[in-house]
Amino acid sequence: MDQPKPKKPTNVELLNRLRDVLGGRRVSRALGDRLNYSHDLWPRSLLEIRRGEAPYRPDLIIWPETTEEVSRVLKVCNEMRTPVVPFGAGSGMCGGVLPVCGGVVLDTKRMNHIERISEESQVAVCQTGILGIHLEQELNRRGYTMGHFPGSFGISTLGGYLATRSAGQAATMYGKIEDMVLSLQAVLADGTVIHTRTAPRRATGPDFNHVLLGSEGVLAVITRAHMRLHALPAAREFRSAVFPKLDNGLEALRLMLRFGLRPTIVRLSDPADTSVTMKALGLSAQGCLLVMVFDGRSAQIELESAKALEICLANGGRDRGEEPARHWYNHRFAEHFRQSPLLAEQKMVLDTIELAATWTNVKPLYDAVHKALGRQATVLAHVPHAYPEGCALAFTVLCKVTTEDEFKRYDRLWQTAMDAALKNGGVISHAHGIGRQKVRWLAKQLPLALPLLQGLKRRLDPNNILNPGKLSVEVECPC
Amino acid sequence: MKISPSQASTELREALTAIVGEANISVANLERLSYCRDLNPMANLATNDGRLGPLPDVIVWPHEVDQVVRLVKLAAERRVPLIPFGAGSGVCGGTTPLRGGIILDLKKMKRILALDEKSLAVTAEAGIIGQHLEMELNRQGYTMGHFPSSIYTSTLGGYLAARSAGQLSAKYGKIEDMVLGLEVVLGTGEIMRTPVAPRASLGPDWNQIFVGSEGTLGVITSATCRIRPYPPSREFASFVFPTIEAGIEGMRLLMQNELKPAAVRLYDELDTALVGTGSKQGESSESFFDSLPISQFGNAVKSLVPGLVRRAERFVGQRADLANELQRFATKGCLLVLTFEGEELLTRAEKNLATEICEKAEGVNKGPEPAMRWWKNRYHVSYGQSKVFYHGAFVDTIEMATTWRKIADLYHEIRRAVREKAFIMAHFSHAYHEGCSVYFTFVSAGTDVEKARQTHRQVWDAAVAACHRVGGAMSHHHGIGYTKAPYMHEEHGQAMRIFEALKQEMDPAGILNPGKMGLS
Amino acid sequence: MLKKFHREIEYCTYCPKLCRFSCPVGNATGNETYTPWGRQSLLHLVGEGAIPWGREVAASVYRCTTCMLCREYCDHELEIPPVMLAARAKAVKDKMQPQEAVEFKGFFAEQHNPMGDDLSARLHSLLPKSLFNPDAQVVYFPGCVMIYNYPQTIKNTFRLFEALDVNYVACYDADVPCCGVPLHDHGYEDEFKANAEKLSQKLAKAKAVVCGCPSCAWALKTMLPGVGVKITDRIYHLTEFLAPLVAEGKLPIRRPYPKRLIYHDPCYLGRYLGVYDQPRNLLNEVCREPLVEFSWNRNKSYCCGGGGGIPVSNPVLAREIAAQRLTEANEGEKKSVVTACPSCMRAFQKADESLEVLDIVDVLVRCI
Repeated sequence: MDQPKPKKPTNVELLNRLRDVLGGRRVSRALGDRLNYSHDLWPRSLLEIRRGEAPYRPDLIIWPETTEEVSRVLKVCNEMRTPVVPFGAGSGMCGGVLPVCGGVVLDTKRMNHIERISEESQVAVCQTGILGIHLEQELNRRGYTMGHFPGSFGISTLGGYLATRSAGQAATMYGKIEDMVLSLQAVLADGTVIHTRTAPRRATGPDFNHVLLGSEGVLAVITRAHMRLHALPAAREFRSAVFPKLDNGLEALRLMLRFGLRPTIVRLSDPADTSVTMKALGLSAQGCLLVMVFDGRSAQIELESAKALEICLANGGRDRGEEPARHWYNHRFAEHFRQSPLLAEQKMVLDTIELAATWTNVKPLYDAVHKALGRQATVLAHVPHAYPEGCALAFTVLCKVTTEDEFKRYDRLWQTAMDAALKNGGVISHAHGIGRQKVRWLAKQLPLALPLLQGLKRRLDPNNILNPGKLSVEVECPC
Repeated sequence: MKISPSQASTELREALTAIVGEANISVANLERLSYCRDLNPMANLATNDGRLGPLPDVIVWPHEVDQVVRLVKLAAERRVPLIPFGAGSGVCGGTTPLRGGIILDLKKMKRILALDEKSLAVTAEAGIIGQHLEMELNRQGYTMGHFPSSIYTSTLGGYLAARSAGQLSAKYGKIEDMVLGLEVVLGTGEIMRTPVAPRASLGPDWNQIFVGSEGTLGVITSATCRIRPYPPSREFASFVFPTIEAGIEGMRLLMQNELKPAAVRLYDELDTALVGTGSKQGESSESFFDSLPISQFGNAVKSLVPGLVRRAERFVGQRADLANELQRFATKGCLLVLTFEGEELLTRAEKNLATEICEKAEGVNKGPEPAMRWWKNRYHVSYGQSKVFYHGAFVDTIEMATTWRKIADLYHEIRRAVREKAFIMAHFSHAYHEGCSVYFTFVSAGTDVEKARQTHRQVWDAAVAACHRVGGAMSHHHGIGYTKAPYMHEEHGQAMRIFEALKQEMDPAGILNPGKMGLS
Repeated sequence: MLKKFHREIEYCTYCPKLCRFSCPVGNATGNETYTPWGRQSLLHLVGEGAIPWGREVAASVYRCTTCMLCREYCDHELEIPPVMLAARAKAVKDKMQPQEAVEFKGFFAEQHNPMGDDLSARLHSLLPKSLFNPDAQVVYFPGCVMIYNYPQTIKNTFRLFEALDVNYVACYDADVPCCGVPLHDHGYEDEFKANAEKLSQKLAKAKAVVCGCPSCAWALKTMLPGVGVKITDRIYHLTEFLAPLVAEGKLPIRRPYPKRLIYHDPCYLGRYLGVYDQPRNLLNEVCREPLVEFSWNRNKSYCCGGGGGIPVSNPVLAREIAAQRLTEANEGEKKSVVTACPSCMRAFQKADESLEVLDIVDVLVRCI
């Protein structure tokens, strides 16, 4: 690591004022904290860490516990022109919480209470710092589920889901995070607390929730949400099929959803993913494995799963019974454990590039991205989510890097994938968000989005204190 | 009637003509009158009274998005209001040219640009009439599933701009659930085209920012929407519940058991009496007003009001408290209408499950007929109002939404708040997992237009105040326009800052549909 | 730096924090640093020379309750507490340990226990002389917290022995020190070893040891041999000792226990010693109401906050962790918590004074 830069004198006034609000225990300037809040799970950051580098360090980390405290600390930071990076659990894969301008990291995890559950309306009112898994466990205990199971389920917060527009494995049944949220409470840069009001639906202007959803911390700090719940399903069915080619599997998925079936989960692997990922999870299969999970009343899901299987068989699939799906389901979060040995021992870089496209575009997109990436890395791909209109495509890329070329190779992988996506009708992110990582390509995909967002930001956060340098190509720091 | 002359300068007219061509511009009074109002009841009353206005200065009909860009830029340069206009079926004055200016009628932009059968997506220009789009989709074996009762007289762009919801929203979703991509001309003249994908995480979802913006942020010029295969089967079911609360509970259980009926509608006792629950009890009303108590409770009303039906109608409007008493005569319980559509395998299973749930929840199975009758007459309600206005009364609708926990409160509170000023009845539709909407129809009148206007405002003030007291959305799918604009700050509080910021950013000249939605 | 734990440290550093939701310290503080990932990442960066090994990093490794719950959610089955303890030992060697640890060590040295009192004398005043036998082959080892905080439970234990006709278990009649876990927890390995040797001399004659406290049992069974000190192979926690006897029907149960109880698996009894069924079997023998389970139970049991020296170094944090654990006990009708570890009992009571916390022994005694 380079000689540490000469340490900026900590702004004593800022520290004292934040301590006035939060007390001493919930403000930290410890070196350890500053390092641990210096990055998220963006693999590029992990490469930096592997080298012993942490280029961006916040000056302070704070843990407010209430909306009111968030409001007060934002007022302080706004007055002092101090950057504030809202932080959930740091599981993002795009550098969305990198404190590129230093400043304060506002960790929401002490705002972790489920404030109320309305059994009648099936709505939970939660603070946003609660971990997804804690929320789900508590709901399960009361007979409910939120139905949101992103791969990061155990290591991410509700606020993170909302701020990055997360989608979970069961999105086909329960929807994505935007379909689950009824209303939000958030704090603007000047400390103003805003609420969107709870109703099943309204036609009273644009849906303001959608300005905050996906705003990745640049417009406001989301502090509370009303979330839709579902009764825990009475029964569950597993089905699996293997297809000779990816095309067959895609077609079967498309027809199932077109038919009106509502599987909870569908996950289709390409041949490489089938032989590597599924093998790693203890499943042996060749071809393209499709796993399906159906939840609901037993009569209904028997009907639906039988029909789904019928569609698979009609499209070249072979029935693999319940076991592969059940096995995958029980081990599905284990995939993430593969990362550490690869990075630590084999000096590999591992990343996921997830895209989405309509059915018309999805196969050409797959072919193009796969071909382009395949020259540089080992590529495994799967369809993690499917919709009647199209699906998401997740490419797992793996390549060995030496210390000298690691960043160059990593960046080239992304350049290749993004170029291919833009050229072939894909969106550059299905559910991971933008962060620092994809902002250049967002500028290409949706040219007006960034200037509009930054314009909106100038009006809501004139001092640019909230997560500066995100959803913006240029990094402009306050002061 | 005196019509103030168009304020459009010759120079402006020439500049506009240069963009759209002579055939696509008008400053004629006739047209200015046609575009000065939508279907909001106060505008209708004014028509009845012969007092119209404010009027637009000029109407243009662009054919291409490039023309829209140039028109917007021109308007911005000259600070002339520009009001995007679909088919003028709004009921909140959303397209009323409050400050004069240019009406941008999009109906010439009505092409279907692409039908992606594989991906179940249709791309069409914003000016296409809903029914035209639906018919064309049907011809190709698809449906959009969007059936507002205004479908014959409203456009795709209007649906999007006003956050429309159709009668089958429980299955197909509301317009915001259908939109995949948009082309929008912002107030700066820049074009935003959102990428078409089943889903994306690219920052805030711009589609959702334009849906509901009612022409204040940009002009929606085309859209890509989800479609579904035309349903091969349709099932109908009807149940009568002893009380409104029991009916609400039945709806809640249906939705929370993850059922996806196409239509879910529950009528309160009075509404039920008018719709009828049996197959033989008279074909449902041709028009809304035919079905008012005068026909159904003929004797009761006639004993109150001797003489002509017409006078009875007036009476009902003016003595709303008495009319509301009629509710006592309606003892038939509350009718729930359900339809299911899609593949037969699924619709049949869903209907069976729904039947099981409703019967468990005190619902008496009335078979498919009442639901089929609703289906047949589902667009007729819109025709009824002409007659009301013709007789000098007015009819308006209030559609609000809240969670199941509060929905019965909302229903009772609104009735209580309004009952002395208007004859009011209700049905519940657009059911969701966590709540539903309630749709009130109220009829009232004044001795003159000014009095009627006052009554109308009083009813709305009272209703919105009650809604905010209980906690709900003051509009479920009709939008804001200018008639509900005064309540926007109460509805949203500080969140309006977001809207204001969007407005300033996207329409810095402040020319797009000014004076609407509570924006400054 | 901690070469022995290279794999643990590297794996954690690159892991997406998959166990983080289970870490009691991480959950209570909401701080990324106090997750297994955070602490290990710092050790990695120290290893890379990116940051200095200093008091700040050292302080972070003291924020672990050693509950081992993270292992249950790690596919690599990495054990973080040993890394934390090794790092603490290094901190002590390099004089980087927190001030609380230094003070604790001094305090411990006074009486050779963490209570700062003559526990031997306390024990003697508690029990009749007949229960002390310097030559006993089966020794009852109550544990410091038990003696200091729960004398009644010790009395109850002997009442149970009596009811079960067990007359061969006795207390040692000597000045026996603490098992040493608290020293080890604070990073004092040399002192732990010295203490262990002293302990082994005092217990030289024991053929079997029955412990009232799970961490004592773990220490005698595993940690002492780890530093080359062995007492006997037959080390039991009291519940392991009692369960077969009660199962044989030897306990004369006169009245069932009437109240609803929720059982807390102590980390050392469960994840460390692997004892899950015996406590439940004992309780099921005597309870009228079905035993309530926490949703985090058995090998997924959640920490009470009382381990790893946390109550010493950070009492507020310890209370927060305990309070988190108790949420379910306090839901609806307030339940009494039953467990089998005096440290857990103390941790719970510090967090909620109104709560009734019982040792299994206390429950059993009320039924005879």
